[in-house]
Amino acid sequence: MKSLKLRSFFIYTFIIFISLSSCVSDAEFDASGEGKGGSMTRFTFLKGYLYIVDENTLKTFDIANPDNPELLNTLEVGSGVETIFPYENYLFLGTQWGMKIYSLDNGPVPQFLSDFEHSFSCDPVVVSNSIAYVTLRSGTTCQTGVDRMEVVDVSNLRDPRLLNTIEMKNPHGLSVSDTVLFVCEGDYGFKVFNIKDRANPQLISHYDSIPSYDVITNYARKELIITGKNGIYQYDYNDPYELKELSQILSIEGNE
Amino acid sequence: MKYKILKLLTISAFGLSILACNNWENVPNFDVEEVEGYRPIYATEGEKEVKTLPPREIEDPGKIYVINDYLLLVDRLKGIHVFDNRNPENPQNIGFIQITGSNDVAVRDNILYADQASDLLAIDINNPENVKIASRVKDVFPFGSQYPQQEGFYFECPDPEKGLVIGWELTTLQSPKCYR
Repeated sequence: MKSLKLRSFFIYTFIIFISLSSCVSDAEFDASGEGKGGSMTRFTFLKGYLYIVDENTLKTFDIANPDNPELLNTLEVGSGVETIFPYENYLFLGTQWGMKIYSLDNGPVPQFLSDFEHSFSCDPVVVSNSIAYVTLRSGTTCQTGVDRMEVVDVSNLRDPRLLNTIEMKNPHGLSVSDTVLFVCEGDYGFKVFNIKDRANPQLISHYDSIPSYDVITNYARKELIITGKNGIYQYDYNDPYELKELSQILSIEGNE
Repeated sequence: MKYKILKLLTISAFGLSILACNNWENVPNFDVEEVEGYRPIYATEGEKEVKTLPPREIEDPGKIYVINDYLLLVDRLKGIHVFDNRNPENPQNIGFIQITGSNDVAVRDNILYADQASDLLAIDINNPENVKIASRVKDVFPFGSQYPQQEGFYFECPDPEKGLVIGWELTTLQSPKCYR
């Protein structure tokens, strides 16, 4: 009896030891498939290719062999390209001049469809249900820039139409999740909009104490990840009128 | 707007001002001698290597990326924090991938793509504790992310000879040649 107890004690101790010593085992870590970036990104995947925007080019990489990515094509797309957003078979570029739409309908090399121009600003773009939401942030290079969000009908990709304009403070990243739109306002916090009426975003709330720069939503889990200079904040938005904070990962500045 | 040499800037500023601005006040004047602005901080030898380091605090949070249950956060010009986000109520900071000079990230099939100054890196993260560069494509980013985050400032143009820029310090500059 005694020896049995002793043996099981050892076994339990061993099990506890093993479970404690395995922090992140390699087997657990899973980065398979494709991930999801925020709207501020300059990198995106579409149909197995990697697309990168940088200043005035849109580059297509064949990444079938990551040991040897192959630059298939470089398109000159004008100046001040800042962000790229994949939607269906199309790439939406946010530029200082507006939004450019490219098609991959005829293979991996993007083909220009249209250009939606506005005043000189800095802007990411997201697209959902044939509506693009574009935030314009005044750059200091030219003080006539504006701070606002434009709602653009892109059901005809060759002829985007402005539907609405909403004044903003200092918009950066944004994310759409079905009928909810989250917009980062830089140092001014972040805003939640109801977009049931897609052309007329209605402000639900303004979380003005959470500096925000980039945002990603997980529609399946109704979880929001928002980052800014104070760190990472996660929320449950099952009820968009009453976000439930899940956690914070504070930066050095956020801890001060 | 990004990293402009004098000539390019002057021409484009002139063009922009006509097209988009109604005033001339904000076109930078390059005859300045002493002015407050940003000076690049260059990486030391040890900071150039791409490698996994223990979890660390977030210094200068940039873009975010989600891959399965993991959350990645770029620490501007320094690298990428990796969080196990299986439980969003209790995310775990599990490590830091040092990629000096990086601003962007995307992950596909255990390969992490990131910029490093002017290069594009494909980094094998199958074993997150020991990441390895799978490939490096040179000169994908001609401007090389080599400008300060802040807009509306003069800055000292980075010198490629001095290596990778890992940050910027606000200081007094003598006759800077770059502006953002």
